[in-house]
Amino acid sequence: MVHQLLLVSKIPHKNYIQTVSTLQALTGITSPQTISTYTLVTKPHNEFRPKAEAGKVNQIEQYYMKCITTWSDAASANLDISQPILKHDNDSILVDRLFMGDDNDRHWTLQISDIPVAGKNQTCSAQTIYESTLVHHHTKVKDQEKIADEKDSTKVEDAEDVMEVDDKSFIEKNSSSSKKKDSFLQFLEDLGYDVINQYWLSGIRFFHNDIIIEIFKILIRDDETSVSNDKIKLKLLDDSNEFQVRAYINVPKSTDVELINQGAKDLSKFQDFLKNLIQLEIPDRMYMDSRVMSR
Amino acid sequence: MNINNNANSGLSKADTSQIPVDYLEEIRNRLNQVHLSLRRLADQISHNRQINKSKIPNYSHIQNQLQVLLTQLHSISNNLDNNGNILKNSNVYPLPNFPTTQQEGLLTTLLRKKPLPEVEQWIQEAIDLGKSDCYSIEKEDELTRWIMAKVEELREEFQFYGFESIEELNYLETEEGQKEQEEKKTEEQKVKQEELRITDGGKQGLHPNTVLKFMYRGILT
Repeated sequence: MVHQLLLVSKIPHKNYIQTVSTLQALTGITSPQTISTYTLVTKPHNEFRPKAEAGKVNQIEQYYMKCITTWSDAASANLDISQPILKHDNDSILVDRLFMGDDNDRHWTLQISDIPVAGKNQTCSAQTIYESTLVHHHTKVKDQEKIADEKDSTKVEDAEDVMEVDDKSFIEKNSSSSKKKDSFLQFLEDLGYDVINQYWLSGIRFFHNDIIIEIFKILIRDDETSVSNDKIKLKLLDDSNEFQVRAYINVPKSTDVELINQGAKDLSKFQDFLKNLIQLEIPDRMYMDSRVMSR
Repeated sequence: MNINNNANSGLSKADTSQIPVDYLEEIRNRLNQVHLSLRRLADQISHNRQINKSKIPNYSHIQNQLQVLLTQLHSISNNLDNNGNILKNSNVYPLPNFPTTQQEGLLTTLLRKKPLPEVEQWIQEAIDLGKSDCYSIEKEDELTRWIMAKVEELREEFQFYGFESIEELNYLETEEGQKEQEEKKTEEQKVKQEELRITDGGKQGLHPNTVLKFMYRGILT
């Protein structure tokens, strides 16, 4: 659980170099961390409507959940965000289909966040986020008969560190499962969550004392132009090529008032410091509401 | 204080009704205030000097103090002017129950009509200074007027349009200048074109709030 103090902004593409150089000078980080993630936005499948009764806890909510993993294929490595991403460009961004890939271990971070706290005269948005990262074995779901046939190979899978796998069974496994539904999606479905959208996020990250500054672009699936092979074509969520900027501080506990106040103060100082470069502002909490509105 | 102002010294029984006691009392109060203000100003300057030799008090502080002082002096001189006649014609004497022998020193000071010799010297110095040329207020005013007129006159000789000097304008008239101008324009156009290409035809970016909504709920609207 983290308590996140957040300010947001955006910068036009042409200000990117200037902003990055300024932040490099300010933070002393000459090569900022790159961010490259893939996120699934999911929503509970079934509505849950408990009967509101007196004397019982009636604040039962359902939340959207974000499932975040790394985006690490050739496309992400080749993507240079300092160059504008154009709609009618020949070398478009083609990402691997994640659930067809062969990499086995995937770290999925499941994230559920509360609506930011309300209040007047706030200096920044404050929100509690619950995260849990699980190492997911990216195994494929198999046909019933195949499972019976491949008892041996499943054994190998269980004891992965042994790694005495003969090539034959591996090939068999891959070929048999490539068309099947991936188990993480299956897992989400079993959990009762529907995937409603997905996005790829690419950007850079700076650190200034406790403040984390992220500059990024969001990419979404481009369905208009279909690509024949196993790739997915991406396009920008925001055609104007503008970068989104987030400056935030993560406080470990939402009850640590002293740290939160200090953090808010630091953020507002930072906001004032950069006011001629980036207009950092408080995001509207209603836009960050991830509760499912059933009532 | 047992001092009585008497407008008419011939009368044995003092007729105090004619004396504007309030005003005269006010003069005394004002003098007291001036004294205090002067001391404060002096304190301010000398005190700061002791602590930090190079630092004099804030300019605005001195200015304020001086303003206060000037108002007080002004009101005193007004009062003195208005009651000049009475003060001139008044005689001051101690009443019988004043402890004359014990307070002899004080009495001589109080009954003094002439300024002290050193004060007289200061007054004389001030008058001399006023007479000499270098401190003539009229002359200074005259100089200021002359400067104002001169500045006005000088300004009328120029006309300000745009940001280029005449040489620059002349240069722009020549072929070379025009070529340069043309180049600048095309360059600007290029930058604009590039900008349009990047922003997909000058589209406005999404507001961070909208993007946040997309990130949280997967929808834009």
